Amino acid sequence: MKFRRKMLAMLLSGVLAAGMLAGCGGSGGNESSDSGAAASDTETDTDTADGDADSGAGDTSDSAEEGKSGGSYKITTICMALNSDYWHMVEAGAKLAGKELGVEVNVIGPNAESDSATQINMVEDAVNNKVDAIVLAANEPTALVSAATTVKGADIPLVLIDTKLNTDDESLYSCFVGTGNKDAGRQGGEFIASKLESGDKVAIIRGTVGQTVHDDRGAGAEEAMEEAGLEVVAVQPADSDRGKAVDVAENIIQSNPDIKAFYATNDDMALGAYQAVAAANLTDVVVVGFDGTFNAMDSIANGEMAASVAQLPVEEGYQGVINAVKILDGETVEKDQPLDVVVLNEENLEEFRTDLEARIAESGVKLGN
Amino acid sequence: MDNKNNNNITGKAAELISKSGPLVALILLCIFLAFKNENFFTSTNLLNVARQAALNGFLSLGMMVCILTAGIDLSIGYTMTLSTIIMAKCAVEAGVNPVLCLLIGILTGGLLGLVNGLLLTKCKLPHPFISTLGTQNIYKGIGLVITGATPIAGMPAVVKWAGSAFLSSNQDSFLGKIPLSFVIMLIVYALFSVFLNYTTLGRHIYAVGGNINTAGLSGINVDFVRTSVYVISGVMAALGGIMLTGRTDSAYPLSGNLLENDAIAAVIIGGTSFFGGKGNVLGTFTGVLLIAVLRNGLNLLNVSSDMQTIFLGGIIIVAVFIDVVRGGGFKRVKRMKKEEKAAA
Repeated sequence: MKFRRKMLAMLLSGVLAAGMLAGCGGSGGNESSDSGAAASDTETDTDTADGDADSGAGDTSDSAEEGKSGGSYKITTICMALNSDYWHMVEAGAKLAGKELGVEVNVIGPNAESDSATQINMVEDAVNNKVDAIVLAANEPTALVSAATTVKGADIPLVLIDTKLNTDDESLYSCFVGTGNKDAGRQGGEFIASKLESGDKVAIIRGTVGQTVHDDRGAGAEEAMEEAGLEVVAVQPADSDRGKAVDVAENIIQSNPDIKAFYATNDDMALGAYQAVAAANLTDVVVVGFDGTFNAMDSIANGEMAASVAQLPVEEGYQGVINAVKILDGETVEKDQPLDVVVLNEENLEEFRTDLEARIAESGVKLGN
Repeated sequence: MDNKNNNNITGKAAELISKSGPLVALILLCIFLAFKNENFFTSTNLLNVARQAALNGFLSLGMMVCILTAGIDLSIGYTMTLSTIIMAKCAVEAGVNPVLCLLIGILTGGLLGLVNGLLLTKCKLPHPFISTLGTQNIYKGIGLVITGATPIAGMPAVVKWAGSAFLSSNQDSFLGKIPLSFVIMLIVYALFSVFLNYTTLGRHIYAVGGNINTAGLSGINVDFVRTSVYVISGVMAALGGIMLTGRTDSAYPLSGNLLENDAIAAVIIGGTSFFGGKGNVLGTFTGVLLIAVLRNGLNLLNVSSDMQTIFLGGIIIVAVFIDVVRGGGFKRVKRMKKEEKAAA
């Protein structure tokens, strides 16, 4: 009897805990956006009122202008993942644009770049949340096509950043802002070629096999280096992980002691490769990474890594939101907007970094390191 | 006499509360989200959740039968991936009849599951955690090799149908908003409920999970039962894969990554005992919905996916805690105390 009572009490507390968890869970996570949501709530209300009146008048561009002045757009930016500096810089750019234009910008993304099913869900959820525009960096160019179709079906403008979708149907998106990863990879390869002589041995350390971003970054560099007459002795995956990259680079150095350069498809792996190079006491090996993260910039400034291909993530997020707002305002935008790629090296590093830090500080986004 | 009656009533109440724990959590979560976001409790969004739940719904069912026998299938995600890849290869590159492709996909899933089962029962690997951890990597690798690490797109309409169609082609009608994948999932869940409760194999699954030695002594072909559950799991994975292929119009080599986590979570949240022998289809169904609603709701509230992961983890712990309180743990402690007394 006594035992039963105890058990019941435990049960009830368990269920209550579950309920509380669900309850406080949501509100806890929402804290940051709470005030914003409250503010925008009233704005959304007036917006619908505007919309009604205008549709009565039959003039849609009018309502868009009023929307802008009221700052009532709700734009969701969906990154490939929110697990690295790169995507937090995209987040910073998007938020910065939101601040400047006075629109509400939410930035989300799955835990891992390989998680396409979750990203599709996020796009669908944004559509259901009735956002005004979606800015998307698709983590799987083929699988996300169906999500883009959903967005189109809801008549929501879609701005693609970073990566194009694998489709011939250009009506699925409003515009694309970004550098092809392949072109950017080419520039990294060309930089290495400019430092070496024909016939020199180089190796590529890449992200998870099957991840399109890394396929493209690797392929672009490989092409450029082979065209320049370099010998690519190995293309090996290290799953975007610094520790694995050390192992991979060590093995490559073991079998090719005369290696002259490592090209990695992200900076973490390049830093790992540099560790291996330094441990083997090799001095003339050129290590080039990709992304232009702060860790890599420190390394370049210290004369360790030679360069990092920077795709300007802040600019990417910024332009993504700017274009989305332009489209909502009824302006026409260029369908294809290539972004510059900077091969960061000791010469241009300082200026680039100062400018970047200023913009990130302004956006209010805190980076991991 | 009075006392005993009283006990029974308290016991029943406790049973009811504990059984409906996940359901209560699901309802509370829905109420909370409905107040927090005006777009949550709309028919489009709820049907959207239903569509998103289908993939995990199938995987969880497969995972559940494995866990019912005190096993586990870690390869379920990549079993799904590999069966979709082979299906897609047949459909897109070999031009096989699309209906046949669907069957090939399901058959592949079953075969991959059979491998898991045989490794356990014929090769006598000590625990399915090991065999399926191995095959998880093998299936993933085979998928990467076959596809050359690039996605296969452009499925025939028939292959996409199950995962992308709605009950009616008229989008404005009510039926036109109900995803076919969810309806198929409901039917499969209903069939499973019958299968587990009213067929010999179904009852044997519970018996093997409850106590494998007793089950063997009472004449149940334990190896057959244990192999069957992995075949079932493989088939469910393939069905989930068909849904995903329909949604994404592609088969891609990393699609199965970590999907086993959500499946295990749904099963555990649904009250299936990790030690086997206990659990039901309705519980798993609730678990699947709870996870789908949680993710959808937190997305609507713009909660980062990092935070979502923390909530999901918390819910798993609480759910298992309820399970401990409900049966296993406390009863075991009680029994041990009794035995101590008897010994003294």
